[in-house]
Amino acid sequence: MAEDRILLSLRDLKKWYSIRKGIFGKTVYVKALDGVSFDLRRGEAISLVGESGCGKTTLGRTILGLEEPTSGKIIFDGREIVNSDKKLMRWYRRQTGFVQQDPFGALPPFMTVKRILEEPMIINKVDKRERRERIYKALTEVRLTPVEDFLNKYPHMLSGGQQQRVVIARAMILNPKLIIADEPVSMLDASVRIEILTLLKKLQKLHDISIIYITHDLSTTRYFSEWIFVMYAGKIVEKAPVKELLKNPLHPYSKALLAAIPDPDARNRFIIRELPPGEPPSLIDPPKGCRFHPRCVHKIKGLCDEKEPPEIEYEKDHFVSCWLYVQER
Amino acid sequence: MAGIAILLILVGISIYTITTIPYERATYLWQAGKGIWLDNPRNALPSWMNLFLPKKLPETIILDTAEKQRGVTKIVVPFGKTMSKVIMELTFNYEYDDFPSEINLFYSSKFTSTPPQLTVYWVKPNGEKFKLKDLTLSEKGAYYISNDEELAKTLINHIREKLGEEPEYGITTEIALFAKEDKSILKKETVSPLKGKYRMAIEGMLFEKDSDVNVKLVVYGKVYGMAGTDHLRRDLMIALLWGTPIALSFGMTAALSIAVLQMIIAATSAWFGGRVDFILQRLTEINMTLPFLPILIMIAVFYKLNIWTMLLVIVALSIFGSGVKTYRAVFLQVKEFPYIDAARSYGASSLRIIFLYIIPKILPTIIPSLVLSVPDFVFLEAALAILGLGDPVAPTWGKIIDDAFSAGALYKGYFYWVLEPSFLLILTALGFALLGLSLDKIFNPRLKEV
Repeated sequence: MAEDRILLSLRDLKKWYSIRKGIFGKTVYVKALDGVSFDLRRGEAISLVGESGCGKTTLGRTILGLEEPTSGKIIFDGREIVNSDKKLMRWYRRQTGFVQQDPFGALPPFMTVKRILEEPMIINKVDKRERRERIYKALTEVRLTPVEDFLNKYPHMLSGGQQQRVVIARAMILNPKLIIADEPVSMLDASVRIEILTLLKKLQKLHDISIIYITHDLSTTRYFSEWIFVMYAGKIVEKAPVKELLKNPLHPYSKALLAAIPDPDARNRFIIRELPPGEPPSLIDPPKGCRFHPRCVHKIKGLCDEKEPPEIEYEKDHFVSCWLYVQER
Repeated sequence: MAGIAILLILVGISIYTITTIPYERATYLWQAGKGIWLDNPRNALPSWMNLFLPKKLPETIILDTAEKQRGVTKIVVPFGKTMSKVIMELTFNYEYDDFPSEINLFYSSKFTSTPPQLTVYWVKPNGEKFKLKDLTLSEKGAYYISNDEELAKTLINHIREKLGEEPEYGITTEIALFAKEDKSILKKETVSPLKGKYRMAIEGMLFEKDSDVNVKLVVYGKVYGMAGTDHLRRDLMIALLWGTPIALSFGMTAALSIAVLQMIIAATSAWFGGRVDFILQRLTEINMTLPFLPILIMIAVFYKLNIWTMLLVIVALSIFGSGVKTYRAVFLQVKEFPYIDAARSYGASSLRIIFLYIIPKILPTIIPSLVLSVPDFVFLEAALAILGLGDPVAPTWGKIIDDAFSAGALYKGYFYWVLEPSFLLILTALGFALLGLSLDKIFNPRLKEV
C-alpha cells in the first residue's frame, strides 16, 4: 500500500454518545463507534456493510465532520481533521460530498434544482459565471438533460431517481475527492437502483473520487466497490477485496451475512438458511471479549467471551478480527 | 375572495386617506383647536340616516355675507359724512321635519374706535317678524341665539299670549323660532317645524368711514356628512378614515415582526441547543408567566406612549411569547431533516442554516396564522385606546370609541358614534380572518379533509 496513494486514514476512531439514566443515575455511553481504523486509497471504493444499528451511518457522519468523534484520528490527504481550525475544516468540507438515503429529504423542498446546486458554491465562494457552468456540467453528468427543463423545478416535481441524481450532482459540484454514500439506493425503486449505482461508479472513475458506500445489502456491493468492510457493533470485523470476501468470508458474522443473501433459485425453496441466532448486542453494554460471541456458533469458551480478538492479516489484504484465525492463542 | 375584497377596500381607504389628508392636518383637525369645527353641529347623525328615518332631519345651513351666496344680500347706504347704514338679508328654505340643533350668528367687523351696531330680526314663512337682539359688535364674535335666555322668555311669552295656554314643556329658542304656532306647539309630541322661506333681516349702522361688517348665520342641522359628528363637533369621518391605515399598519407590523422575531429566537434555540436553548427557553417561560396586559397598561400609564412606541413595547413584550415554544417544537423536527445535514456537510454556517434552511421550511404553514393574528393587534390597540392609554394625538377607531364611551354616547342614543368604529373593527377582523382561512387551505392543503 503506497503511502502517497492513501486519501483517508482513520485511526482508532471512537464515537460515544452519553446518556443519563434517571435523574440521579450515572452517565452511560452508547458506543456507536468503538475503535475503527482503516485506510482508503484515492479513486477506490469501499463498501461498508453490516446490520442496522452497527454504526455504519455514524461512521459516515463522523468522517464527514457532522459528528465530533470522542477520540481517534481522521487524517485526510495527510492533514489531521479532528479538532482542526476553521480554515482547514472549510477546505475539508469542499473535499467531501454526501449522498444520503432519502433523496427527497436530502433536498430542501423550497429550493429549485438550480438553487440547490448553487448553494454549496455560494457558501464556498465560487464566482457567478463558473457556478452556471458547473451546474450545467453537473446536471449533464448525472444525465438530467435537457438541463433547462430541470433548473427551475422543485424537488417534489421530480421522481425518486431524478431526485437522487440531483443529490449526486450536488455532492459532486465542489469537485470533492471523497464521497460518502449512505445507502444511496435503498429508498429507490429496484429498477433505478442499478442505474444510480452505475452512474456513481462512472462518475467515480471519471473524476478519480474515492467512495465510501454504506449499505446493508451485500448484493449491490459487487457492482460497485473494490473493498468490503464488515461492521459489527461499532467495530470493523473483516476487511477484504470484494471478490475475496464474497468467495471466502472468514468471520462467522460475514459468513452469516453472505448466507442471508436470497438466491432466486427454485431449488432453494426447502433450504432453511442458518442465520445467527439472537439480537444485535446492546451498544451501551457490549458483550465482553468478541462482541459477536453470544451469537457465534464457533465460539471458543474461555477465550472469545474473555478477550477481544486482535486484527490479523489472514491472507494478503484480507484482515479479520476473530480468534478462530489466530495461530498462537 | 371576500376577505381579499374587504382588505382591498380597507387598503384603498388607507391610500385615499393618506394622499388626501396629511397626517399633521388630521391630528390638527382632531385636536379641534381654534374653533375649526364651529360650523359643524354637535352629535349629528350621519346624513345617510335620512334614508331610513320617517322624518327628514335638517342639514346644516350656513349663510355668509362675506361670500357670494344665493339668498344673501348686503346693502351699504352711506349717509352723513362718515356714517352708513347697512342692511343684510339672509334667506333660506327650510323643508325638514325636525328642528335645528342650534342657531348661531357669527360676525366680524372692522372699525377703529366706534363699533358698528346691528339689530337682528327673524321673519317666519308666514310673515311674522320678531326682533331678536340689538348688538354692539366687537371685532370678532358671535351671538349665540340658542343660548339667549332673554329671547327664549320673550318667545315663550309670545306663544302664551297668542294661544292663551301654557306650553307643557321647556320650549327652546330653536323650537320657538321654527315651530308652527298653533295648538301643536304646546305638546312635545306634536310640535313640528313650519316649512318654507325663513329670513333673517339685519339692520345696522356703521359709524366710521372704512368700517365694515359681515355676518354668518349657522343653522345647525341634526345630520352631518358620511359619519356624523361628536360632542366636540368634529367630523367623525376624519378619525374613521385615518383609523384605517393606522389600524392596518399597526396590526400587520405587530403580527409580522412578532412572528419573525419569535421564529428567529425559536430557530436559534432549536439549532444551537444546549445552554443557548436553556437560556432562551427559560426566558420565554418567565415572560409567558408575566401578565401581558397589566404590564403594558403600567408602561402606558407611566410613559404616555405614542402609537409607534406602543407598537415597539408590544413587540418587545411578545417576542418571548408562546410562539417561541410552538416554533421551537417544529424546528426541532426540521433540524433533523437530512437536507440540514447535507447543508452542514457542504459547509453552510449556522446563520445560513437558520435563515435559509430552517425558517423557510415552515414559512408557508405560518402565513395563515400570521394573517389571522393581525386583528388581535388591531383590537389590542383599540382596547388600549378605550382604556384611555392610546396615543393622545393620533385619530384612531379606538379613540372614537373611547370618546363615545366617556361622553355616554350609548345612554344618550348616539349609537352611530360607537357603531361606526366598531363596524370597521369587525370588518377588519373579518377581512383578515377570511383571508387567513383561505390562505390556510392553499398553503396547508392536507388540512382540507379534516
